[in-house]
Amino acid sequence: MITYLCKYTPLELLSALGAELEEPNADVADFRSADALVHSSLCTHAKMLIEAVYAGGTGQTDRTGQTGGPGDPGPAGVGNAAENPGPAPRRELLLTNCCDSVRRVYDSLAEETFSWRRMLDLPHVATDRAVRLYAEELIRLKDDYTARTGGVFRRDILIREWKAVADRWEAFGGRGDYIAILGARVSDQLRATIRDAMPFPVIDLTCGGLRTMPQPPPEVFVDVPDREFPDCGAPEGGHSCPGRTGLSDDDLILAYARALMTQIPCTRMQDVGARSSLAEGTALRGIVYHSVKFCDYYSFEYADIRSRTPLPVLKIESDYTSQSEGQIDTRLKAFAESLGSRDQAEGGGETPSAGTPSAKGTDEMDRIYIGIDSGSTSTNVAAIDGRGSLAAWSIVRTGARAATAAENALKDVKSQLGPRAALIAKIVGTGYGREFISFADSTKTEISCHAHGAHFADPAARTVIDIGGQDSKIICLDEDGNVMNFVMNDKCAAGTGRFLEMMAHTLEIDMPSMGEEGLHWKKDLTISSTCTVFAESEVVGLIAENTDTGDIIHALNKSVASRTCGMVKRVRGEGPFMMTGGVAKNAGVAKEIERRLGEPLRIMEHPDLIGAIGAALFAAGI
Amino acid sequence: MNRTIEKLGAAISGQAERAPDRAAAMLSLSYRTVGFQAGHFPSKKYTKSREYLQAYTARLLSDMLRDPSASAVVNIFMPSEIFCALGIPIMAPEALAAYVVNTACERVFIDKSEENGTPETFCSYHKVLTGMAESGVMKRPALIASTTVACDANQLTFRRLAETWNVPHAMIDVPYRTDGEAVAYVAEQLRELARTAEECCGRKLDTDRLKECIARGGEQISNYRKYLSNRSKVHFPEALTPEMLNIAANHLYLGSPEGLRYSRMLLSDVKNAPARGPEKHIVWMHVLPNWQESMKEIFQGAGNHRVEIIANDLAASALLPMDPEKPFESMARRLVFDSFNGPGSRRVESAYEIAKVTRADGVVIFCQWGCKQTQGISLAAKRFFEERGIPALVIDGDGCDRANGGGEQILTRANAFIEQLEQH
Repeated sequence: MITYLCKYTPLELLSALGAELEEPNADVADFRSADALVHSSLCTHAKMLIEAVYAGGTGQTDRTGQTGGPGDPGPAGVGNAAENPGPAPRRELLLTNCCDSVRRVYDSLAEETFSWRRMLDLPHVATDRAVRLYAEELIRLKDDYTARTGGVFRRDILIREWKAVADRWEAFGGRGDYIAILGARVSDQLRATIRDAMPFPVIDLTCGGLRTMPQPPPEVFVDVPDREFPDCGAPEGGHSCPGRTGLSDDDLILAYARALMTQIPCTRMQDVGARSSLAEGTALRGIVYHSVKFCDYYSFEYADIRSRTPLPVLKIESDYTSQSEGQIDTRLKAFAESLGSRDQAEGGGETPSAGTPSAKGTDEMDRIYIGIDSGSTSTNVAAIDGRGSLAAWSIVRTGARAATAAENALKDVKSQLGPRAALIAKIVGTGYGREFISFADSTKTEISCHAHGAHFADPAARTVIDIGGQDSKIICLDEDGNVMNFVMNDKCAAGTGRFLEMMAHTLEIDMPSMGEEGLHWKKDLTISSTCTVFAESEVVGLIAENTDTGDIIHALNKSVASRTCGMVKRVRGEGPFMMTGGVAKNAGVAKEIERRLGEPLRIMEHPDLIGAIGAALFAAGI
Repeated sequence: MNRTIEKLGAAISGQAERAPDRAAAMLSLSYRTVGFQAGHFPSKKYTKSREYLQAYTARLLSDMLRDPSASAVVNIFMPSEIFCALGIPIMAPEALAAYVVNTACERVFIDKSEENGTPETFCSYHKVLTGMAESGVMKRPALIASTTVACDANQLTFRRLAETWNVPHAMIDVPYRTDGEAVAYVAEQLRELARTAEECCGRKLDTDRLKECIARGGEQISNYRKYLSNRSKVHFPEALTPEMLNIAANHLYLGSPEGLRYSRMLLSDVKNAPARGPEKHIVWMHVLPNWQESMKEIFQGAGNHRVEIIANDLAASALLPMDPEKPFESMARRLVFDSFNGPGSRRVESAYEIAKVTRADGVVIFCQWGCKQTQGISLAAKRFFEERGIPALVIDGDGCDRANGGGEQILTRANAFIEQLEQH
């Protein structure tokens, strides 16, 4: 069984040599085996290989990239070396030197782990000379493999499989509406999640998806029996043409190498011009652009696509574990909502749900609609009437159980509503904990809710800057309040409310005082470290030097503002800007953001309630 | 970093977006001043060779910031002799970014680059350069030339720069394998590069001049080898910046009159330097964060002389003999056989050879932020050295972005490592 990763791997040639193939592509539980061998900052896709090797096998990926195609999601999680000691004894490994991470992972895998292994020297260009070099690699591979296994090279299998791949690629052009996954490859699980979330069929056009080889040239079919390829277009109308000699094995492999290298390139290749076609097409309805943690190759292309396509584009990043599942799911659902073709959350102003009979017969304007924003730090509940007026609200700490916090906050709101609580017609949940609110009639992502709430509060707002407890997000709106684009930071505490909370703890100061003191500074200091832990060290150092607390807080505010405004620029956010989330109450941070944006922020009376209000508005159908 | 430089950095940062021409002029003037000072009033604190190359580099950068239209932007591994023979000044991201961070204004350019889509996890040296290009501070050169050795960042950065500046980009694809065919493949591409460079500068490449450059490079390499074998006997007053200059000399300035002169001065300095003391000697792998006070405190040996960096593997990655009669093949051979090309074991073994030649007591493997190349070999390299009785320390840091410096934590690790060396 040959394990491989790269789309430039000569899969069809290997089949012709009788090899069985396996492409590990499943999420892993963790990187315990990999982190013992290589630096933690290597590409997580490459590190996944280490986990797969030392676990002894994973699912195979769907090479066709078709919806529901063969070999769809493999087995979940492949464990790690600690639990599965020893590699598979007969495993073979064939990698290309495609990137620094893969090269170093190849270095780190012990040779004795494999019965056979090889690194193919893949050129970065597809010039004639480079193709010849790669063909030589493939010929050596063929000779080495046949000598080792005693097998034979089956030309007919190579040609048949090559043609099948080319046929699939040709057929791709004629399909209906679809969403494309572009960028770095996605795990089998993530691909399935994307397919589940999207309102259209999803085609995987990453290097782990559809193979894009051109058809074999006619001379390849010379001397191949007619019945195999009746429509191949061989020269002189036949296959065993009198007086003609078929290609030698080496020439056939040269032609095949050329086809391999003229696939739509990955961004590792020098000439990536042909990649632009992946983001085009009349049937293409939207793009999910994926990058892998610690793979740098694809972010550049994302920025380029984002700037030139009119299509909706969602950027997601994963790390070949299920750790980011929740955040990615939120993004995907928000994207699906913004595509507007599938009412994922059933949240739009319909008749009251069957579960709320008390609302029946009540004047619509008097009905009460509830939005519950279940965040990491606080759970916020807003109750509005049919006119959109805020009738009651509550904010409680989320604590360990999101459901309990939601119940408590709703109880508080009901007590504020008094007899009007009986008029509650519908409840919509949002936020990270939305799925845990069992009594909600439906859910909606916080992206859509913040956008909706912000637009309702101030229709002029075009960009929402939301800084919450564990994430920050920038949402761009059109004049009707539709989400045009958004970006989230939810993997790192830097630039979030959590960052400020940790620093407040270090400074031994409460959050309201921090907001106030940050306005009174004398010395313009800078906290250099991005990492929260290192930034805390800097703060400790400044405290030790008796630095004024106001100066330190100002430096921290600058740090949060810098990261936030960086995100605004990345997503091309334009004013007027509205700031929402708990951090909007911190005047020092808001002021720094205003200074960097060069215009005032619009901050509502209850900025941390905007998401809940948006959810309530969805419930009311306003 | 002193307050004056911080103020200068803040002033340049303030201008970078609003008035990029002014920011470029301020940077150019700053480096002109550094060059003038090092060239005309060399500090007695430093070696003569250090001050000479500092002056040359600062002047070069000053000129390029002022008007790069006749220059080339290259990566550090790009053979320099073709450009030298054609009279085209060259500049690499590592050289520029190392100066920018020491002018305390790297952040504004890194932010600019990230705003335009560069991932945070990308090499900071490259982010500084792309940020400078995209903010308009670094103007368009005549040509961009890069090699696929030694890292992925080259592929991305130089392609993007070529688009930003809309200038020709010559890329040299260096095979992983080390054989005659690989050398011939690279040599052919270098010939093509020479043709592109000729078109860009409007001059014909004089083969005799190219041969002179190759011959000078050969002598320079030979001098550097002699310097390395004598380095362990002496004490130099400073470590981080000179090692960065050695990297520039053995790559960017190889074959130039200045590069050769520097190598001769190095030999002279090593002959005249005071004998080494009890301090422990370190071989450093990869770039050096010469902006970082905590690193200087530990590794410059200032005052306590407990440790001293005496060599680094990037400066000595391709110390191969050169054949002036086969200039393109000589340059190609250097690329193919560079220890940074190919499997990680090649680089680790090369660093081990340097450690043996210099009789080093320990090795520091510096994992530059975003450099998968070095990060990827770090654990294996540490094991390799320790199995051979040489203590090794892996440090995560950044040569040009103080946001990733991790100052205090590095200090603790480095001090513990020194204590380990002293017990050894």
